[in-house]
Amino acid sequence: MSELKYANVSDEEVIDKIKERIREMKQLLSEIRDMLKVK
Amino acid sequence: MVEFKSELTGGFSKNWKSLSKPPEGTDTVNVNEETNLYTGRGSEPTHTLRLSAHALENSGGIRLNRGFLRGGGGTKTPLKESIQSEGLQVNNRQATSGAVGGFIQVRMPYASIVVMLVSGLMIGAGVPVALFYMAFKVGSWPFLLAATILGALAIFWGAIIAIVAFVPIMDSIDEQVKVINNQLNTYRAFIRSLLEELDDVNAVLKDIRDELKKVSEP
Repeated sequence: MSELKYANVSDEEVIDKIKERIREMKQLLSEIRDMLKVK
Repeated sequence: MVEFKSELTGGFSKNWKSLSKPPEGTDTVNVNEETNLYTGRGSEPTHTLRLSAHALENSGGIRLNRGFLRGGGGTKTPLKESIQSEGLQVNNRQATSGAVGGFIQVRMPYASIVVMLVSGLMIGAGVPVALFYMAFKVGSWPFLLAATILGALAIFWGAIIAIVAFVPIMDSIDEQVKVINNQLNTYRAFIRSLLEELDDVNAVLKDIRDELKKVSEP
């Protein structure tokens, strides 16, 4: 069983990281959408 | 189907409140582990409480924010099974009774507590008063001396009985704290696994973007 990657990170930091990841995800998805738009 | 409502867009205030009181109708998870399982600093060296990074996508049973990571898997495995397979244990009795789901119903023996308190009060207060009443009525020093000794003993034992009456209350408080800590550790492990999952999703999205860039370049 592998260790948790964020085992030693505090709860607040984990929440901040989750928010950050979601923002990144939105950004990436918007980029992909723009690329897939039919010109 | 169990939903973990992360409410990521609206902040975590509700979610954190729901740690001690999750929404009605949701299943709850209990872990027979008191230590900080998410940090691994406990009596046991390994993480018995751990959602793997792919627990969500395998089960598809956890949906975040009603659509976030929706449809994580083709097969809809209940959360209980997925978590049990990951080493967590769901206690059905506690889940259905609400012992874990915020409404911690620890039955306390109120009758015996009341009886113990009343008897402690009667022995600690009633017996000395009665003894001194009789001693003063008789009006002799030996009686007064005996009343003093017996009264002191009665107060001592009354206090002991009253203290013993509070033992079940303290036990129930300890049990509630243990249950809440287990639940909190479960949620902590869950948000950490969620973060790992988001890392994986972002990595896949970056790959897709890079591939699309390559394709779109002439």
